Amino acid sequence: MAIEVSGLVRKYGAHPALDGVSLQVADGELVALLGPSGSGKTTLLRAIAGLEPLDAGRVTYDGQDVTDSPARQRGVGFVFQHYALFGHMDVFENVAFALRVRKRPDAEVQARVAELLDLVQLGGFAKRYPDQLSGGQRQRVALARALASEPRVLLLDEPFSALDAQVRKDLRRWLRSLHDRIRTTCLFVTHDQEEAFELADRVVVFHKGQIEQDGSPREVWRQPKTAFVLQFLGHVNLLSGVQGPQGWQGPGGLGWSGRPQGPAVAEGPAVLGVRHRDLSVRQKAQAAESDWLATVERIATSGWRCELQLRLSNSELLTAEVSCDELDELDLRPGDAAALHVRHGYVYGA
Amino acid sequence: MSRLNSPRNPFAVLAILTAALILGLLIAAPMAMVVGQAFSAGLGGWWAAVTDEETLRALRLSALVAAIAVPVNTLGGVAAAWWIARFRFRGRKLVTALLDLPLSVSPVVAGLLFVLLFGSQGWWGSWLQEQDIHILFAVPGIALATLFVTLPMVAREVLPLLQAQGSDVEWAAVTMGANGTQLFWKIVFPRMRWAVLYGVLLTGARALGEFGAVSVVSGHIRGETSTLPLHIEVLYAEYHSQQAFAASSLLVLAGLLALVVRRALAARLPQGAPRGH
Repeated sequence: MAIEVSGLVRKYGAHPALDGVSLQVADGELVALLGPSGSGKTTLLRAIAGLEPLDAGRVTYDGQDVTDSPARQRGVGFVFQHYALFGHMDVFENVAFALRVRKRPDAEVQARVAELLDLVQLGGFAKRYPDQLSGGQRQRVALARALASEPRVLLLDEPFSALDAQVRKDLRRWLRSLHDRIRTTCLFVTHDQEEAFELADRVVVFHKGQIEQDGSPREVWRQPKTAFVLQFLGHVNLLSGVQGPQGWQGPGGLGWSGRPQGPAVAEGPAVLGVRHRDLSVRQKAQAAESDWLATVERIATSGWRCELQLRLSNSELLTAEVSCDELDELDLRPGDAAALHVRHGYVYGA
Repeated sequence: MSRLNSPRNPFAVLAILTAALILGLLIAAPMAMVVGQAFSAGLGGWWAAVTDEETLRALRLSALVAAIAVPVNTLGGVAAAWWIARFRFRGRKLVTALLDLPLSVSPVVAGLLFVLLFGSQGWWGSWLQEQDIHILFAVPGIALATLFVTLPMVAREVLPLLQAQGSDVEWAAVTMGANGTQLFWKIVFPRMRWAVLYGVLLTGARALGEFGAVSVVSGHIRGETSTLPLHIEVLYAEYHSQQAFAASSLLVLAGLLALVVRRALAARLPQGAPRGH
């Protein structure tokens, strides 16, 4: 089912949780709503489901206006962050709930629930109660339960955030393969960019109740539209300075005249963003003229990746990420002088 | 091993002895006294006292009042708790505070409140007199006073539970197509039932035992407006100690029964989910 929202506004007191949000989702798409907490992404999801009253705007399903129709008539499947299972019912009855309230014949309920429990790989768990399941199992019950009424759209609110890292990864891949099979339109909210990029066909980035960027994971990663998006995606150094005819100029003679990857920027105050992995490190002896000189302050390793903290002459601290093998060849230690080269940079008007 | 918890620690011994002494002196001994006095004329004497015409009438009136207070305040309490927990409205804090008022105000003051409203000098007194409606010094007054003092008990048990549970589970049921009735009976009520039962128990126990507020509005008309606690006081004041204690033993029994059920319920309160199997 295709979903379209236009001009959604939702205020909590004076503070707008949604500040004029418009978005179109095609049938069968898997879309991630990405943003920090309080950016409006969960409010949008709840508004689409009919769980959130709106101050302005329309919601349509397949072109049909559903703004004023109650949640129970919208036919959506909703998965909550903390599962929201019915603790007083066993797994079978949890999954059967949507069919029971529709008074479906018992034989049909039995068959459908068995099928759904197989789908979420919980065939043997029908008689268990939610508090006897692990977090990952609970979330799969919640998914099966949401799918029972054959919803036209599946909405998931931070579905994996309460789970351990490993379970989260497994469940994420499993959801992707499930979506490839059932092809139900699917929107999920997350504050984890890795999750959004791995799972979604399309990523919509939220900031202060508005959509900051909307595009494919690759597009959003390679062409962050604003400094906020770049920063939110993480692992980036941000330096404030001025964009002039010769390129970006920072304090203390720092300059970068490369071609920015982001949108074109006018002259004036500007922020330079350099991802940790786009900052090359070499020994001071091999420094090119445009390189920045810095002192290695700290080296941290996360297995095969090494992170260097580097202090610039203007006392600004930068982070560079290199493979640890590369670092061994460079033979740099804390206290050593190094030269930095910006391979790719993003410049945004400030 | 913690030295503090060691039974050989002199302070621990002192604390245990003090606690035992207080419990014994203030609770166990009086309870034993009540039961001892109740049976001081033998089983037959006890039976005669509790089946005395006036005692039975008082017992029936107390049961009637409890039978009114429990369902009314259960329905009202569940509705109020739901309203406060799930809706944001102006004056929500005020309503929550008002709900606690009957617990914080002295029962005598609560009784006087009704005298102020319904007494012959009261706000509605003359109008009621013209209509020949008797509230004060009659069963309606007693019922109203009891309703007032037991008002918060169910709501006070259910409200924190609803607040702790949050509304996601209910929203989940709504998105799955549950209508209002299904939502209440399949989801909301089963999840709060132990808290409701606990509140019912507290309401019933208080309704049976309420003295202060009822004493003010009852007028102490023997065999007419005497509840069991009021009747016990009259018996005692008239030096019918054995009868007074025999009647008291009924209230003690009711209290013990409530305590046992409460203990059994307390274990189920936090979750409301059946465990195991």
